[in-house]
Amino acid sequence: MLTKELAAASTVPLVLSVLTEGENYGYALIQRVRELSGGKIEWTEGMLYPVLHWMEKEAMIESEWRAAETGRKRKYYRLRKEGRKALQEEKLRWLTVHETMAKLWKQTPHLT
Amino acid sequence: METNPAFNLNQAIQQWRESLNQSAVFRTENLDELGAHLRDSIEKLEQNGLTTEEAFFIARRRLGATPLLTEEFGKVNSRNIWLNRVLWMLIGVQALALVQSVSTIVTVATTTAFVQFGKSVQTSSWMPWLLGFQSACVRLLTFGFAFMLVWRFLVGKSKWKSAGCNAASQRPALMVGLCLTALVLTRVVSGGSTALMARTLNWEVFERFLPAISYGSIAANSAETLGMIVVTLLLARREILAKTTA
Repeated sequence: MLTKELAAASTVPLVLSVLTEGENYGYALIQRVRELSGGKIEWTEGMLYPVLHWMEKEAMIESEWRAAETGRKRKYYRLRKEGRKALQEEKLRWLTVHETMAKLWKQTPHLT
Repeated sequence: METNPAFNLNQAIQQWRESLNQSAVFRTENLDELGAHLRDSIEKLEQNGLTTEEAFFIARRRLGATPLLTEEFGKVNSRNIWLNRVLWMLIGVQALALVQSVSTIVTVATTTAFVQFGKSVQTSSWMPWLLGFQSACVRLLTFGFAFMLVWRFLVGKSKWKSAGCNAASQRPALMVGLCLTALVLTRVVSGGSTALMARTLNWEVFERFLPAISYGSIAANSAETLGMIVVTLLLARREILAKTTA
């Protein structure tokens, strides 16, 4: 389980990374992160939305309401140029932290 | 687990929406989005074998507690909170103007009646002072009474409260519209009554009463201002106490 601080810090890069797979809506984003982390990253689900709205305000992502096949309306989020740039910077930061710790712990970093 | 046949999902979601809607930080779109999430989550849990009721409670829990959601959405929607405050300020200003208009109408009406009556007892020297005193009393009484009514409507604890507060929080446009209409109506009536008084009044008689009426008016003004200061301080005290105990 992540600490509160680490969960907060990793939300934006995680959302940006999931959205590189294509546009998605809030519930499915959370499911994807849960699935990839093997259930180790669990968010308080409602807290994701203020983050998404903030990211939209910062022009990292854009959103659109659309009806799904079931007829139910969902709000889809999509990456923007600014978001891709932010993700590159985040990647550098997280890899730096990861590589440094891996060297100290004498493990070879596996992240690409 | 046995199922509760009385459980109505749409109704439960509606109630949950309304409880969130008590706070100004959620825009309708936010509630739509959270609602869509809740339904997706419930659907998934039902596929895992839960009853609709169980799924609803678990999905709601996973979404997060209301105070937490309110706090987090508040960080993003701070503009909403300010718009809501400005709306309440406007309603307050209009309500006060309404109260003052009502009290003016009543005072002008009774003073005119008194002056007309006073024509027949012109000789007594205490008459003007009695008039001044009565106009001040009438103004204060009507002001106090109208203030109480508006106060109870907006913040009272009886079922009035649900009428005033809910109308304001859920239908701000209607509330502002009602306030404005009431205000315009009372202003028209108050202007009309002043004009009527000016046309019908015996000015020679009124002149004798004028100083007393002015003093009465000054006294009433001071008392009104004092009253408003006391109410403001009382409210501020409650706020400060709530802050320090929290």
